[in-house]
Amino acid sequence: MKHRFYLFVILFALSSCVSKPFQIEDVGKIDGIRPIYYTDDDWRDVYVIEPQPIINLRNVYYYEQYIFVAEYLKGIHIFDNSDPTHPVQIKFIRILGNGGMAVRDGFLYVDNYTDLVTLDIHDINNIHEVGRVEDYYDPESLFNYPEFYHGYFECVEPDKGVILGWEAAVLENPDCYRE
Amino acid sequence: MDAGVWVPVRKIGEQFAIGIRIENLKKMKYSKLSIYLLLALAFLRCTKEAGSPAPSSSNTGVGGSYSVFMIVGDYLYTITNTDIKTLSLEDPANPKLIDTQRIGENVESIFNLDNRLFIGSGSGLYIYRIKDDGIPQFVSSFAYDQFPIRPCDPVVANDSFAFVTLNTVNGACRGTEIQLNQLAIFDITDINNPVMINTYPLSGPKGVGLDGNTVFVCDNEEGLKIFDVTNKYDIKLIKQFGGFTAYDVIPFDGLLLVVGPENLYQFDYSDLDNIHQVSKIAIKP
Repeated sequence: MKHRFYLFVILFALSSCVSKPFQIEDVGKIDGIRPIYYTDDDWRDVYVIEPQPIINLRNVYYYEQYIFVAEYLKGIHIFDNSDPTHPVQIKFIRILGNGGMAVRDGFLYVDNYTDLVTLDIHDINNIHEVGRVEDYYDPESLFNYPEFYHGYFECVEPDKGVILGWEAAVLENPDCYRE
Repeated sequence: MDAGVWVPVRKIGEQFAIGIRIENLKKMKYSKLSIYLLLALAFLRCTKEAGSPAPSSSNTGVGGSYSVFMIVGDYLYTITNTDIKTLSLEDPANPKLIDTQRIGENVESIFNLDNRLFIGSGSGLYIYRIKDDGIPQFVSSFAYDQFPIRPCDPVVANDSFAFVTLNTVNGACRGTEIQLNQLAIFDITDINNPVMINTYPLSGPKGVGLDGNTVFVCDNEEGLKIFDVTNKYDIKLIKQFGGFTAYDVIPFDGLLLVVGPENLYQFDYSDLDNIHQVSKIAIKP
């Protein structure tokens, strides 16, 4: 059993395949993870709501007196850091499928799943979308495997919707594996 | 001492700077002075990539080690696991895609210095030069394939050195029997030939930040480690803050933001002899 496992891993490594459906031998029922899809049509709606708890921090960004904290695949938290000894959480921008951000001269650039969006943040109390590049990313190239996870997972099917995250599940003969 | 002018001159076959004293400028023949100036210009063009983007007066802030977006001048660069895309920000409200290029596999992070992009991946470090038109051009790479594993690799750099944290903890970067957790320092004075010159063992490093001769490393459960790297061949650990897990760090003008799984910490490092924590933001209530 051990030898078969190592052979499989070597073959997999050589293929440099990360998540495309692959001729993985059937393993029957096995613990793994699967995507959580957002199926509503309003995933392109980007808007500001009251502060939310930070749960799955992705990365952070300093800009002027603000700290932006990305909540992976969900949006961006904003802190007012005018007094670094007492940073205050002031807002949350809902951006589904978000993974990156950068700011320049009062414009916040973010990804919203397949799209690249420009938000005007000159007035932090009136953040609004001013530009969008649709289909900036090929959905096949996005989030098609779970980050920081190694093992079996249910393959991503972009047609099913925007991925919000991953959840533990018992999988049956999964087609995707990450070494 | 006679008054003089120091002019760097390139010697054919090598690159180095020689001080030249030009005495009595008024008396010097015009032709001789112009030759010196032409040589000086040749030297400068050889040591700096031509066409550095004009310094921007824009305000861009700063992101962490795991950033996938990077703004340099009038351009926004975005990376995926395999590609880099370039957008023009000439019309700031409407970025325009102008280029897409494949980099490699398992691309994770991007860092900028002057007109260079340092891109970290599981298989190696890639260095690109930003051309006048904003489009990156591949310069060189350092592959990790001399190691039988592929480490994760946030990277920061100054003019001469790049600092990369390599991590094989928890199979996050696919460790096998070999553990490779360290801060690696690359000499990049010859940008076409990065050379690994020193390593410092760590337990499970993640994000890394650089300000002057100070490197900040998040060493997972061992917390924040601060190094004096004035001598790249003999780096010194000058301060350590334990008791928390640190993933990423952003130094910004004397304030250090440290990201952990449970809290965001801010440290004041404006005085390196008195680095201290100033605030903490809870993440998981």
